[in-house]
Amino acid sequence: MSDHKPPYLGFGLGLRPEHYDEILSGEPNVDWFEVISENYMIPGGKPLRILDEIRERYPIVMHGVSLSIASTAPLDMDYLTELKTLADRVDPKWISDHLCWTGVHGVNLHDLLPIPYTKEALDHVVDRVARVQDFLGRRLTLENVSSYVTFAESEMSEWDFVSEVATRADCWLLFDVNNVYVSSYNHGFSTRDFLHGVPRDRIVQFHLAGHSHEGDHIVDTHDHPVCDEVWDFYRETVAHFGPVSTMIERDDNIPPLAEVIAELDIARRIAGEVAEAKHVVAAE
Amino acid sequence: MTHAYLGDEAFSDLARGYIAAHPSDKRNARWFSRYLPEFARTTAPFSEHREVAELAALEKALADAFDGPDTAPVSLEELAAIPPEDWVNLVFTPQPAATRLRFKTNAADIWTALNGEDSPPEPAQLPEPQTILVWRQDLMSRFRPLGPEEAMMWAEAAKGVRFGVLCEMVATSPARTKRSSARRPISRPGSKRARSPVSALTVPSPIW
Ligand SMILES: [Fe+2]
Repeated sequence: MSDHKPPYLGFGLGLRPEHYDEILSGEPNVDWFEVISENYMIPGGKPLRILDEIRERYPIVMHGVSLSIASTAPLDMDYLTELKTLADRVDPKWISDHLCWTGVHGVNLHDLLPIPYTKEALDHVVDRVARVQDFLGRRLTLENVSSYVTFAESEMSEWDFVSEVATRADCWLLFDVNNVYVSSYNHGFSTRDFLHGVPRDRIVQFHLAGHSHEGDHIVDTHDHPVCDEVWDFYRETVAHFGPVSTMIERDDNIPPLAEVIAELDIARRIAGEVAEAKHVVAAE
Repeated sequence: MTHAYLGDEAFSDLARGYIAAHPSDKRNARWFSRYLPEFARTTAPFSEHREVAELAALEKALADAFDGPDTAPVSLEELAAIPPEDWVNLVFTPQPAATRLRFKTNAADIWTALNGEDSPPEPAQLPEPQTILVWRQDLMSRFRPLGPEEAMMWAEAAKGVRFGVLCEMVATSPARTKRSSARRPISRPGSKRARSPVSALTVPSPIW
């Protein structure tokens, strides 16, 4: 496995079938695309054909939703084999999934469930990440999830857990800005503690997304534009970590490509302003 | 289309019953609904409305054809290049994404109406079961009903029966003499040609 940190890619979007035609017929101002791995873990046909065309023009990152890295069930070798087959075809800049579990006893809940942050869970996850990385022959990138419940048995904070996984398993991290915001709101911790609690040298990607307010808690639904509070936290995040490949996730209510690119331009502007301010500080 | 046909309420009953009976056993949610046609065929009240299971089967077959394995179909040029004396020994291999369904109801007509956002015809039993061919052409899934003779030819060809034998079978087929009473196949746009579902031809070496 290469020791090099993956390259900085700039500002990307999640690839959605609604945008295929516009992407291939124009030259949209998007630096790279993230694809949901499972949508292309299929035998053949149009989705793979389009993906082949898009990867000719843009760097691709693969993002999975069902690795279930924290599950206590045995690793699903069929799933991993299909994932590896796709990775061999696409040659992504990196492969990510969520630091969570999605099912046990052979039943998939297709939802991203949180884990108790205990030493036992940590050992378990570290061991599994190492085995998955060995099998894939490349490092994994793991993303913090949003959660609505906490476990009484947790022995450490989420950011300590995430950091320990990254350093002990030697994997990369995907810092989901919106998820940190959602979890901090739901559990009453400080976004700054999380931000300062994870190792900068492990972060290879940011996620931005919209969510919905459900009264006393917020749900990470990816069906709204990014809200002002999350933009503010993004500014703070970029100031803290420096330039990191950034993308906007939109899974529902998918607007026209131009609209999502306009949102991406907000991220570009914020990151530009942060860089500018740093420059000014450095010059003084 | 199964959803459009049943409406929200009945479809959500079907979906909930299905989820309880078939918890997702694959990581990839793409394959989650693969037992739905069988579930609808065998579970009341849907089992009393056979067109529901057939609509679900058609939908599944179209989805499977859409992202099934890639193979290059035989082109007209390739066919033209085959020496006349070899035709008798040709064996046709259907593309792996092609399937045939056997319908007892007018589910295919219901699907076509719903797909065109027309109001669907009343569900009805067909006088004779109908074979529906589902395949992929130009990256899109398609389907069309096969006449009785054509369905028979497909079944035999898919078993590896040689072209020469197939021709003899057609010549003596009872379906041929009955053809005037057969239902006229409903054409789907762009599905005029039967060549594309055939992905490979092999010319077996002669048997001595
Ligand atoms: Fe995310």
